Amino acid sequence: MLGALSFVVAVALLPPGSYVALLASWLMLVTVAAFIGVRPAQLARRGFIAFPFVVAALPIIFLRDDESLWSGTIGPLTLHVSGAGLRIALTAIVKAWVSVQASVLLLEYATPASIVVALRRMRLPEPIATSAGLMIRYVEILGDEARRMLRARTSRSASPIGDGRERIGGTIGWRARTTGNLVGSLFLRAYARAQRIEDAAASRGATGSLSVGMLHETDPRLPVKVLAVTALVLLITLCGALLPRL
Amino acid sequence: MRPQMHIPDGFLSPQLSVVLFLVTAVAIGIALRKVARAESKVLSSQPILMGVLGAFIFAAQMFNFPVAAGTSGHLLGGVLAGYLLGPWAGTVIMATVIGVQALLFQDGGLLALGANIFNMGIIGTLGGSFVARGLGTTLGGSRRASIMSAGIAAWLSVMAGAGFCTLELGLSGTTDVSVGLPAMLGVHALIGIGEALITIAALTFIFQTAPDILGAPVASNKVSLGRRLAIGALIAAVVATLASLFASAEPDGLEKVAGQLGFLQAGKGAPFELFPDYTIPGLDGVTSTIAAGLIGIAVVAFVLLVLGRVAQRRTRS
Amino acid sequence: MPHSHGHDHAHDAPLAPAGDGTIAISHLHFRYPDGTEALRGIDLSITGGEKVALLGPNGAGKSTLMLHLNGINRPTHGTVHVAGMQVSNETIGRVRAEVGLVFQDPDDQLFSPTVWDDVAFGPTHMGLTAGAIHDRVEVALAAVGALDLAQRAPMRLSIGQRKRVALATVLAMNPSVLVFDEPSAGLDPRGRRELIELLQSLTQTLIVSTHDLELARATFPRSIVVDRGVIVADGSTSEILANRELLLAHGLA
Repeated sequence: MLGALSFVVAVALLPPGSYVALLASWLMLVTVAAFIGVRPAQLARRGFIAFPFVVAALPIIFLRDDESLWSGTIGPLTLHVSGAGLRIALTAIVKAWVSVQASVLLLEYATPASIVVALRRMRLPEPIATSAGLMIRYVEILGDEARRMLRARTSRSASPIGDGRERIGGTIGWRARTTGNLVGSLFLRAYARAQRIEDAAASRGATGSLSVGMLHETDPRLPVKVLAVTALVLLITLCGALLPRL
Repeated sequence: MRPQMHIPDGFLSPQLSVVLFLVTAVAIGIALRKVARAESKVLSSQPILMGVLGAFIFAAQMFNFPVAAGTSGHLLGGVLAGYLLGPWAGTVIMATVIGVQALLFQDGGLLALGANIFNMGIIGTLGGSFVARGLGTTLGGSRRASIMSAGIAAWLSVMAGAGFCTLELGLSGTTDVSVGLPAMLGVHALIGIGEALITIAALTFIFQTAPDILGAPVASNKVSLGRRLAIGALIAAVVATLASLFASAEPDGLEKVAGQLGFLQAGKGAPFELFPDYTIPGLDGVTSTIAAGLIGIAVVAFVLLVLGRVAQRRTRS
Repeated sequence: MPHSHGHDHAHDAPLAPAGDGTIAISHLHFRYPDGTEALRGIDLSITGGEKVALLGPNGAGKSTLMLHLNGINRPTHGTVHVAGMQVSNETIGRVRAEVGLVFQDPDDQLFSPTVWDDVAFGPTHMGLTAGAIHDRVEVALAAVGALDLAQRAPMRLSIGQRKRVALATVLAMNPSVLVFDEPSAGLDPRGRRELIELLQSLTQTLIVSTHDLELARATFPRSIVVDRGVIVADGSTSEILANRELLLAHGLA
């Protein structure tokens, strides 16, 4: 897990414009992935999750003043495309894309339970680790409840009189209120469920510190892994320093 | 649109990320200690309850209602969590939720986690909860007032979170603050309304159906007029600062800001930069307003936090 | 019901449903996004007012099929016609008013502070006038025998009461078809008896998915057995239930 984090840090430290280095890092990542059995194409596709945030980076393409690549007028606006800005934005986007894949890879490699164990060993405070474990366990259940409630609401959301297509009914305030009601109901259900879990746990004699999953013994191949990760990080940094930048 | 504030990796400068990580860690540490010590104030705070309610926040973020033309309002849930569980426990839960979202759903980067928790958990939840408390006290302390305050605080928390998010991006050189800030704030002003409405409705529902869960509203009628005015003024200051940032972004400021940002990212230097130069050179005109605004928000937020805690302690005794 | 309130009925839809309550499904195939084929060629037709039980083991596709009836699921192949309309994006608004789905867990359906508000949700969303909404809610609550519960909080009711209220929330939209998912689950014998009486009092087309064979025998003259995404039997309930081999082969006994 530290591997993923270090990878991300190394990538983040690459100065803007080091596309080749980023490509190299991605290739390294993909190689590791192949070893674990994850197809590069799948990984790449999931990297696109980060894309909505591209919007945040776009302004800088137009607003820096140096290295003007192109100036033009579109309607009432005069726009400059700045090379420096473009470089920054593109680098950020590619970094994000690569980093997401690293994190996805981590997920493929390790089950959520083992991640929680790893976090615990990194001395994450006990209450957080326990509640995180429980959270992961119950997200699906509560998520299903939420989805069923949404489905039930949709089933009763017929269109206003005289119309065939699906249209919005009621005023905004009313709709917000019903949504808040849904949230409130879900909360009460979750609260009741939590009580039931507490009762069940107490009746089984739990003292309040739930352990999720077994504790693994220290990984015998740990030194090798640490070495490998360090090497990877150094490699990436070297690429960043030596490979040409655009 | 969902309150879109989870920053992915690669957008923030590593130094900034580390700083925020540290700040967040400290804050969460404080929160945990408070949670461990807390008398069962509103809700008990054992891990089981927190875990399940964390899952609840997760699931609740799926609820939406159509606003207009294909968009819909969503819930982030920070102030709601803070209201239902108390500010500290609420913050811990939100932090865990954001963490799980980052780790398991790639919603937000790993390195950027500190920043994301800071924006949505510390500023959004902790700050928002204190604002809600403070506002509730100022408005008279009734249940209705406290719920309305939670709604207003929810809106503010979305705005503040978005604001800080943009500022961090700006400081890292990834975005241009003079455009990014008004854009983010503008968009999130609308999103925040959805958050506020849903928060108010949810709290009203819970109050009507199971009031015992909520306990007494944390407010006292004995709060002096002076304190009320002070809190009110602070809140006005926050809002005013946000508004001024919004309004002050003009094209003229661009040159200066670009020049300033150029210092940050022009480096073709070694990857391991020393702490980048954050000094504010002699700026004039619009940019100085922006800079002042940044500092202003930080100060106000800090003061609010402190004052909020003071007010809370005074009320309890 | 006496209309003694003098409300404005100008936009009042008649309290009898608009549609004819027929269902016609032809060559229905449905595949989940993850690739599993849930329905593999369903053909069935149901006439207005018919009472049909949907039987089959867990995972047979009964719930999936039911979700097609009000357009939550859309066919991968084939067509679904409800009350003469084909279920599509253009008709979905009316379809939802024609087909009322009562889900297995009433808590999924009840989310308002009072019973009245919950029952009023459907008509309010449809944009009816306040007077029309009021009338509909009263009629619906009376039909399930829950008028006295109108101002109570749904969370505080017994499961039998909640199931009745859940039905009322759907009735308020005046559907011509009612679809139930496991209505007798979790009910004690008295609750079951009341449920049977209630079902027998309804005039709409009824489609009920259930494991409760006694319920089927008592209330539904026709049964359709679904297994692994196809219909394996469709006919008189008493004949099907007497066919021990059939029941065993499809996990019903």
